Amino acid sequence: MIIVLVPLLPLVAALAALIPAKPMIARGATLAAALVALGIALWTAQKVAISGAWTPLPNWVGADALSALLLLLQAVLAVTAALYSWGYIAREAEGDERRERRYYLDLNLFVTSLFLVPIMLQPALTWVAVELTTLLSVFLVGFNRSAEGLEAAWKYAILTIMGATVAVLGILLLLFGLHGASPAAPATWAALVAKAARMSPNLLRLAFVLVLVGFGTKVGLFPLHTWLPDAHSQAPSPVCALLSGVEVSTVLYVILRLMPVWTAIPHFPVRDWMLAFGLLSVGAAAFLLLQVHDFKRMLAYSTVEHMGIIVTAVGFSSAGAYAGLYQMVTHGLAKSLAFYAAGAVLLIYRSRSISDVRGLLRTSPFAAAMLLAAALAIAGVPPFAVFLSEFSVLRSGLLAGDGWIVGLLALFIAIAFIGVMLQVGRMVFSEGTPPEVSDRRRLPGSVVLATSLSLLPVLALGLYTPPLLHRLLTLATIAINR
Amino acid sequence: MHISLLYGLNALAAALFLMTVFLFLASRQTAASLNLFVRQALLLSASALLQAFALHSLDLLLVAVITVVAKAVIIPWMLRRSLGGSFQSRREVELAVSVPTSLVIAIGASLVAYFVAQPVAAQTQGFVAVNLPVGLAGLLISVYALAVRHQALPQFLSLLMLDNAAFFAGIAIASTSALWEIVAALEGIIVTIIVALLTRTISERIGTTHVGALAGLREEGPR
Repeated sequence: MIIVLVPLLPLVAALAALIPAKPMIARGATLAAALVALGIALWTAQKVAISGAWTPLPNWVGADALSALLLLLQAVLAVTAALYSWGYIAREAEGDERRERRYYLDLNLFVTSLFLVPIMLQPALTWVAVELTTLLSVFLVGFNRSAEGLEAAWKYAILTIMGATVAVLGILLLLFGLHGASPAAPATWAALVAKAARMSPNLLRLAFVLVLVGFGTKVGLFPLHTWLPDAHSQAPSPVCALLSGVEVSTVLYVILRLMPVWTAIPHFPVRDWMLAFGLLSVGAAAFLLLQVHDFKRMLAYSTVEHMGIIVTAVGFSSAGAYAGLYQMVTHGLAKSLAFYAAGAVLLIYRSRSISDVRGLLRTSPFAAAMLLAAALAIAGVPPFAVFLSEFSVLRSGLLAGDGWIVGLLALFIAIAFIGVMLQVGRMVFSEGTPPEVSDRRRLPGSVVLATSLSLLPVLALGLYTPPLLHRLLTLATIAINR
Repeated sequence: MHISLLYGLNALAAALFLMTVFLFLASRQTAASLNLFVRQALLLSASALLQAFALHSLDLLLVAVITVVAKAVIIPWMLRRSLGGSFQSRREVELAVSVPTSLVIAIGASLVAYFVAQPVAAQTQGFVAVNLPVGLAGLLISVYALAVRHQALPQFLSLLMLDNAAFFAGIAIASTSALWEIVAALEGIIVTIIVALLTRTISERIGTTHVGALAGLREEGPR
């Protein structure tokens, strides 16, 4: 039952944020809850790696390798986001303690909803949790209350709720099919997968389209991505790290969990659908990356690119699923690092415009080094972890015999690389520092610590894959390819 | 009550449900749009009630009651209470596409929904065969309505109509889980609270709920 504590801990921290006291209580409770949740997630992952699955509350709450992998990634990012927020939000709130406490309330509720998604064993309840991730993060996106922030929050709310409503019909159709195939079966993910072959193909095809379009909107797949660059650039940086690093992957998890159901549809090219959506997303994001003017939007478009890479990988073959899941992990870690570095730059320059950031290397060598490292990491340069996962994706495509798709994917990744490095190069190596930034060079200690800590796994996973991670990836790949 | 009569009454409710979607698309006043949403929620509830009688399902009866309370009473009350000014009579809804063109597109969407749902509906009997295509048509038309409205409140009402459409199909295809419907109804109330708060914040901060005019965040391009 200890797994139930994972979403409950941030909920308790959210209650602590309601106490009208110094924000220190909310900060400390948020960090403590995230650390304990990480410990439980790690313990769950080890338990699942040994036994394959763990269901303390049968048909309601539990975890298999796929959910344990996502839970672990969420928990890692929840810790770094809590640590980063400590100093970052204190500076952003400018002494407004009520506003700071409000931030921690919203942040913890959002993290609670994220944690709920992978541990729910019923698709309908998972859908509710996915919907809650939107509802509980809307005010985080509009936290700065500027016209742009509120515009982003509005687009985010309307488009992703629309997507979830479309997806719910797909989920209900699946449950209807399950009831028809086996009236006594519980309405769980496992039962859906087990009975998929006995369901009506027509029904499954319609459900697939509704789920892919509905949840694809929230994943940010092209052409349904339009809200993502706005929301992921306007939110405070630690929230951006969570939105881009894990929220989109959390929704993608639902699509991936249903892969065995989709592949059970006879004569239905489900992998071709995935390849088409994935490749279009990577291509569109790559070209948009060449034209961005805002460095946080640049990182958001990079998220669209990476989601496209994961979906393409899953479309390749059974081996592609391993690479895609690995990409999900490495992207989450690298993107959080990138948003933390971008947040540091934003604290110094008070502008998201690439052209306003001049002479970053002279102004703040730490922020410059971290931004450069993050850019190299998300662009897939060795020895960073994303290089290894992207290489695995391309390799799995070649093994699947999809040579021309691999060629196109490699081309788009190369264009995205040029886009990211050109923009970051301008910010880091250009001459001339605006005089007004000199007072803001000193970054809060928690920002420096959280950003530095985030760099470690991005580097380490590029050189070494821990046995626990490899085991979870292998088991999760089996679950997707069942 | 004879089962064929219940089927017939449900088909009538479905036809009226689809008509409310068309009327919503043609409506040019926010207050009238909200009234249409309430009527549509009542028709959704009526369909659940008829299915509850036909299938002797206490779950569906509960769904019918929850739908009326949540969608025909609580949500409109919350919207009027928090955004009263936006419901001033005669306030015009701005549309990106003219009403006649939109109605033609809606007819096309209905035909698409019918043909897409037909293979599934043909394998089922009774309520699913009616509710699925009508719900799907409502879904497509509501997405279109959302896309062509510029102001916050009409956009949100389109989203609520979309929710009704999904659940019009949903009550027929997943008629066995009251827990699920209760959660979904509560979720609808949370959505309303959050979007109403957001709309009010936008109105207070920017002085308008014309979200279509907010264009600070543009797509990338040469400067």
